[in-house]
This record gives sequence, C-alpha cells and structure tokens, in this order.
Amino acid sequence: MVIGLIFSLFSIALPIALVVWAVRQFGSRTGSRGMDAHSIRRFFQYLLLFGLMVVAAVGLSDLLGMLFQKPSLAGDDNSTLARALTFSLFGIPMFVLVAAWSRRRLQQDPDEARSLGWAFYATVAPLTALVVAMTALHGLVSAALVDHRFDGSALTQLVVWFAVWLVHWTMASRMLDDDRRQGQLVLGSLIGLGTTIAGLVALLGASLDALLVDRASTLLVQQQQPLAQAAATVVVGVPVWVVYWLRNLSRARRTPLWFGCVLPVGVGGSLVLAVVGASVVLYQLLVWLIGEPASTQAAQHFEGAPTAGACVIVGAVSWWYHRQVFTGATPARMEVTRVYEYLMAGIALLAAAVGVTMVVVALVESLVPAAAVEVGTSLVNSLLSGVTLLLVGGPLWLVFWSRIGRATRDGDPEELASPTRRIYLFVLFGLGGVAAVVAVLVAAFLGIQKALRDGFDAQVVREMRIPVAILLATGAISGYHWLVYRHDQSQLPVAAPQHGPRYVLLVGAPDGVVCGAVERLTGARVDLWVRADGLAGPWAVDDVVAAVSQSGADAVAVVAGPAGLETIGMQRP
Amino acid sequence: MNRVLAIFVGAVVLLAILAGVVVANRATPDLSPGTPEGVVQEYLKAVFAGDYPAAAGLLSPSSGCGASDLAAGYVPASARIVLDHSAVNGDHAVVTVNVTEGTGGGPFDSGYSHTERITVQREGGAWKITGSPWLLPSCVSTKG
Repeated sequence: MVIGLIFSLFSIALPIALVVWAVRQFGSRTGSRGMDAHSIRRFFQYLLLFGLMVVAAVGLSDLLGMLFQKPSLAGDDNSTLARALTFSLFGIPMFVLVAAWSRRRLQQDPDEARSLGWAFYATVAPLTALVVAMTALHGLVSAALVDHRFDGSALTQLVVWFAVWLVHWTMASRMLDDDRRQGQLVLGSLIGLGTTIAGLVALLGASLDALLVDRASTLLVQQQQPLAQAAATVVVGVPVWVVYWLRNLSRARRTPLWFGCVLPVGVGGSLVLAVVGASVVLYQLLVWLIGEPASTQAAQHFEGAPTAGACVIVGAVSWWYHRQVFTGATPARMEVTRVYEYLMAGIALLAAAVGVTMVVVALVESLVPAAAVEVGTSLVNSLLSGVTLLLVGGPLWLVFWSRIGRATRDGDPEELASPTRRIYLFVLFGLGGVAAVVAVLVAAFLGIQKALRDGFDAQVVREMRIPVAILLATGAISGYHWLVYRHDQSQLPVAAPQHGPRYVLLVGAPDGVVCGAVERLTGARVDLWVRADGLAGPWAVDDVVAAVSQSGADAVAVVAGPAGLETIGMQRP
Repeated sequence: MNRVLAIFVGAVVLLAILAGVVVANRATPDLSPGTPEGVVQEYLKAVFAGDYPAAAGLLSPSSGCGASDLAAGYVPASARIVLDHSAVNGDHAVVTVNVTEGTGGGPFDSGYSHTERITVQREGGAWKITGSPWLLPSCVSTKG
C-alpha cells in the first residue's frame, strides 16, 4: 500500500522535475552551463537515492509491523516476510552507501550543493516521508477512536517514516539555503493547511449535524462515527501546519513563492470554500422556502447543510487569517496580487455566467411549456439555482473587478500591460468567443432539426433554449472583455520600435558580466568568444553598447584588439 | 559523527534481523475445531493444501457444494488470512477474516487486501460452513 501511495506521489513529482530540469538545461542561452555529464549523473544518482530511501523505509516498517500483526490463520506468510527482509537487509546498506557517497560529493563540490538534482531530492524525500507518516498517524488515530483498537503496524509505519522525515528535515535545513528550501516549506504548508481545513470542515459539519439534526426521523444508517474520523484528520493536519507554516514559512523571506502560497491559495482558496458553502446553504434555504423540496422532512432536505455551513465558517476564518498575514507583509501591488484578483474575478464571473444561462433557460421553459408532460427536475428549483449563482457570483465579481478598475483608472502602464491582465482578457475573450461559436452551431442544428421534423412553431424556440442562453452569456463576456482590451491598448504608450542588431558576437578577453549586460541593454542575443592570442584588453560595457548601436547591420561582431574595438557588420551567406 | 551514524545503522539492521527471526519462527495458531473460527481455519487450510474432499467435509449440505465444485473454483496462488473477529448467535455464526492476496508476485508486489465474511451453522453438534463469497462457489443457484 505504501509503495502504491509513494508511486502515485512520485509519478506526479517526476514529470514536474523533468520539465524544470529540461527548461533549465535547454533554456539557458549562454551555453556554458549546457547539458553536461554531471547533471545526468546527478539525476540518476538522486533518483536512485530516493528509490533506495523508499525501499529501506518500507522494508523496515513492514518488518517491524509484522511483530504486531495477528498470526495468519491459513496461507503462507513467506513472501511478505521475504520482501520485508530483502528490503531491510539489502535496501538499508545500499541506501547508506549511496547516501554516504552523495554526502562526500556535496561536501567536496560546491556545484553539487547548488545542483537541481540535490534540491529535488532534499524537497521530495522529506515530503514523501511526511505524507506516508501522516497516513500512518491517521490510521493509528482513527483505529483508536473509531474501532477502539490499537493498530501496531500503523504505529511502526509512523515511527519509521517520522524518523525518515526528521533526518531529511534536519539535513535540508542545514544543507539547503533558505530560498531553495522554500519549495519544501510551501508544499508542506499547503499539505498541512489542506488536511487541517478538510478535517475542521468535517469535524464542524459532523458536530452541527449531531447537535441540530434529529436522527430519530432518519431511516438510513449513516457512516459510523464521522466525528472520530474528522478528529483524526485534524490531529494529523494541525502539527504539519504548525511546523511547516507557523514555525518556519510564516517567518521566511517574502519571495513571490511565499506570496503565491498566502494570496491565491490561502486567501483565494478560503474565499472560494466559504462562498461555495454559502451558496449551497442559500440554495437549500430558497428551495425549502419557495421552491419544490424533494423531501417534506427538514432533516432530510437540509442533510448537506451542516457541512456546507462548516465550509462557510472554516473558510471565513481561514480567509481572515491569511488576509491578516498578507496585509501584515504590506506589499506593494505586484503580479501575485493581480493573479489573485483576476483569478477571483474570473471564478466569480464564471459562476454568474452559469447563473445567467440557467435563469434564461428557466424563463424560456416557463414561457413555452413543454408540448408533452416532462418528468425531471423542477422548473422553480433550476431557476433558484440560477438565481443563487447570480446572487453569489455577481457581487463577488463586482468587488474584484472594481478593485482592478481602481488600479487601472490612472492608466498605469505597468497594470495595463501586466501579463496577468493580458492573459485574463485574452482567455475570457477567446474562450467566450469559442463557446459562443459552438453555441450558435448547436442552436442552429437543434432548431433546424426540430423545424424539419415538426414544422416551425414555439417548440423550436424551446428546443434551442440552452445553446441560446449560453450564447447570450458567453457573447456578452467575450464582447465586454474585447472592449476592455481595446481600451487598454488605446491608453498604453506606443512602444518605440526596436533598432539595432539582433545578434552580437564579442571576440576578446574572457568576462563573466559583459554578455548579460550587453544583452540587457541592446535586446540582442550575445555570444562571447575568447581570443586565443590573448591580445585583448578588458571589456567596457558602455563602449560595446555604443559600438553595437552605431552599426546598422542585423548582426554585428565586436572584436577587442590592442588598438580598441573593431565593429564588423555581418550577414548570412 | 560517522561512527555514531554507523552504529545507528548497524543497530537498525540488527533490529530488522531480530524482527525477521521472531516473525519467521512464529507458529500458526491452531484453533479448536469445535469453534466456528476453528472450522473456518481447517477449511481454508484444506483448500490451500488442495485437499478438496476434506474441505467439502466441512461444508453444510445446504451449501450444495462438493469436492469437485471446490476443485473447479478459483484459489489464489498465495494469500495471507488473518482472523478479524467472529460473532456467534446461537447456532449461527459469522467469521470475518482479512485476506491479503497475491503477495507472491515479486518484491514490488504488495498484494491487495479485502475483508470476507464466512457464515457458519451448527448442524448435529458440529459447526459447518454454509456460505462464503470467497473460495466457495455458489453451487445452489447453478444447480437450480
């Protein structure tokens, strides 16, 4: 089971690591740090180290866990024991050997300590151990609370994997610098926060359910002791959150990653949780009061309401907390702030658009009743769900969009030209446009099909109600955002056309700085070749830039000689 | 520091060996054949040993199964069966076992686990197996 869990975790992490590695290797333009034998060696070395760590820990925890297992009634126990012994007796020494070799390399070679392979291992290994230990702790606590029994194998699993985590945690805090360790802290904080919130929602929901809902009238037997299960989840999540977030990440340097964890995930995620919970409660209330509830019993109708209410409470508290943390960091408006605001505005707008669509569909359905008797969802209820989405999504969108509007009012080019705003506008314009075109085709097809079959009457309009409603909503969104984009363009200062060469070849003395500086100042791609005869003085960036910008050619070679700089225009043969 | 680490790793390996020896030498408990669990154990042992006539002898006539039905049924290549609990109610009992199947497929195959309930009934003073969804084909329905 542990191997399956780790395999699924790893199959998520490995592609990400491969992509990051590939981008770093092939994306580097200077070429000097290109793909070398070292990085390939490191990749396999740390992959092997990780695999052996898992094998050794699984073997040891399985073997110790067997001491607590009940004896087998029948069937043979040998293969499990053989596996545990193999993993322990061969896995542990092999892991120790590879770990000792890696440690020696890390101590001798400063490049090794800065490598991506090492950072990957020092991030993924403690997080893997953390997740397995959390699963074991959950098993241990829920067995004790739900079944009132002691789960010995979960305890051994917890002890072994906690030790693995502790060793890796200590090692990472000693051997990785703070910025490179932040990846682990952010992921660990998110794991802790997610588990804690899920546990708290379940705990609060089960408590409200137990206190408010009269079980005497419920015939269905529910899952046993949801309170105990939820308590076990909270017990697992809280320590992780305290260690990763409260004691470490909350005090760490405010990097973009830190703000990304606090703002879009912490503040935004909590807000979405609370709003979704509130919408569910509002919808159930509206259906109960003016709609057509499926059950006449309040206990049955409001069955999901305690959990939805718990989502509102927990989401609101989490939102308040993360908002306090964010304002405590007193940042200027930056890209992460924009990501958060545009993300929230987008989600709210989507909810409101779905609401509009449902309301239009319900209106058409009520104006043109079905020719035959229709069995299915109630018209009032679908209208109410549309109204709920509109009531929740509309004001929320207004809040965030007006906040964005205040930031763009003075025509700040940084705001108007920010990549987040561009992406938001293009995605809504593009997706809205595609959806509108598809809706037109579907509406036309349905209308023509119905007209050919039964002739042209009011029922044709009814047949086309869903695509037409989608067309109305998406068309409005797409058109509005296109207008906003056009307005942005008219306000932005016209960018000066770029002059000068696109490629610069420098020939002269070795220099670590000149390439980057010339690249930044001219916007050209720059390569540096070193003169083998040594007849070159040191580079002066200003002189190089002046020489490059005076040349009218598309590609320029600047040769540094004893007499100064010589500029040669070049072209492809 | 290296010596401390070496001692620690050595101690862990030693502990592993010790645990392995203890687990390997642990005997399978022999439950009394006069109890529902004992009958289930005898039945499972007989099925895994391929002794189908002996297994069929432990079945209640109401199950409708004979040795040939058992021999034709599916038996996993290897499995580990642990008694979870048994509930006795007069002449009827339900024995719950946890089964981990397919642990013989190499070191990276951790098998899959499931829980089975085997019903037992007292007939003529002896406990007999009346039904199980696992390792006992439903013979009554197939024979009409």
